[in-house]
Amino acid sequence: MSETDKEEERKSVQRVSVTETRLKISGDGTRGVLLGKKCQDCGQTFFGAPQFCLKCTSANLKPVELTGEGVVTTYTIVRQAPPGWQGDVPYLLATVRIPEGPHIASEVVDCPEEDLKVGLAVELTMRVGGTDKNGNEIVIYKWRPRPS
Amino acid sequence: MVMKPGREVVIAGVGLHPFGRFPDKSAHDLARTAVLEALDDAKVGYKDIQAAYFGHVYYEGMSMGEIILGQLGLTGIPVINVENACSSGSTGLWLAFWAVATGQFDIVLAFGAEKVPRGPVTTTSSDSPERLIGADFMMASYAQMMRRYMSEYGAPAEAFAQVSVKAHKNASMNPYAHHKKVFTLEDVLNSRMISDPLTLFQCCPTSEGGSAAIICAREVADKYIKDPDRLVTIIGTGLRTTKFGDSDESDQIAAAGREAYEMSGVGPEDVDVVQVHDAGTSGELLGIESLKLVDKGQAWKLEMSGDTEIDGRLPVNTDGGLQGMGHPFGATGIRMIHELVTQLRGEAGDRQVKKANIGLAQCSGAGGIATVFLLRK
Repeated sequence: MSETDKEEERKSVQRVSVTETRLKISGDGTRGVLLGKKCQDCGQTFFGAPQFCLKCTSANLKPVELTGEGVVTTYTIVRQAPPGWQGDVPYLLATVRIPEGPHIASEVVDCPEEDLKVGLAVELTMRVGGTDKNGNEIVIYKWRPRPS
Repeated sequence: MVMKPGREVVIAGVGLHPFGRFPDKSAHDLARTAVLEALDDAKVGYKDIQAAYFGHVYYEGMSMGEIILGQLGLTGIPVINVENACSSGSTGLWLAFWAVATGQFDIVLAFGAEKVPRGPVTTTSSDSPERLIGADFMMASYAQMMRRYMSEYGAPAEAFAQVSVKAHKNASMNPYAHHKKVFTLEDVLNSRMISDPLTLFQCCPTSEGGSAAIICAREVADKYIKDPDRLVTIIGTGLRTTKFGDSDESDQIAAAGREAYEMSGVGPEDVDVVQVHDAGTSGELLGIESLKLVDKGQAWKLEMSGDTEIDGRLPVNTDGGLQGMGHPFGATGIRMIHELVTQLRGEAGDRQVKKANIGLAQCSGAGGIATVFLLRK
């Protein structure tokens, strides 16, 4: 196959967001922004798209883009692959609190095991984390240590 | 809002099918054995049961409760199948309690059974994005709880491992337990790392088993029960799910505890013997703190000093808990009740706690569910 044909084949693989209500991807899936909803009545912000405010139950929610950085509140190093995980093991899994309040759990990448700790400052990064049944590559929001 | 029972509710009989692996038995078989044992314990005939609640998670054909009981008799009673993850059995018991407390029925059966296959436990459907994200793994959640607690209070890994050591020691004295092998602290800490810092022997074994309880209204008990001395009263109960807020506000175990304490009129200081949801060892330490049985950040010290042993000042999981008994999801909630009833009746033999008048059972379920029962003899 010629170089041009290979290029065409590679470009025809689509990249999709793992969950469109949580993550909007752009730039061929290399960039992304976390999505949420903000309650116009009580001011609480949520990750993803609840139908009603989870705090005050108001229906008056507006879509917002969330800050792509935060702080690790807890973590683990998963050494046994759970069903459905398409990545390697071991993998670092952390819960991260973003400034708006929500806690978002995902894999931490580009981080040596010994550097992962409660209080670590992290930033959002995109990674392909699997393929769907149509052959599309699934882009997942992940965390990586924020350069100091 | 505090719910008030209209009349006193008692446990008349309890039964278990041993927990373990039974390749030649279905969940139906395990359930039936437990129900028959409970009927025999209460000395009540199946014909007297007026309603039944069956807790289970996995599907082995529709209408499992009806099929199970259909072999004991076709008496036309209402049978409800209940799913609330790992608290399915105790949710069935909660429904049964309120049915009797409000006068809907006089005497009912609550039972549960499960055959949990080996391997990591997940809670979402097979095509859920959570699995791709890597966040749907029950033991990874318990590991994160453990890491958070260690970071906040400086608790060592040994304190969590000790939960398992105690559990297996207690289970070795329990003929119904899945695992009867005794472990040392080193055995537990050196077992295969599942999700750091939770090792294999700090994850409750997946298991198979069944449990059952027959409850009735005290005022009609004499009509059905020949031996009123063995009756145990349910003095309080709570069932809550997670609420929005910080870790204290959202804590459904604490909320279910408050509900049960308020209903019963007793406080944490009155509790003699405890069952708490130790799916991961961290569940025991966090659970007894949520229930205000020990101050925040102190549970790990209690565990290391031996205070949660059978002869300690706050005996926890005297039958082995989930760690030692194993965890067949639908059966666990009422298995906890079985042990408390046995303790309160003074029939626990080698596992007998010296002072056992008030018992507390707390069972959790994925999805942010917590149940609590307070029993008194």
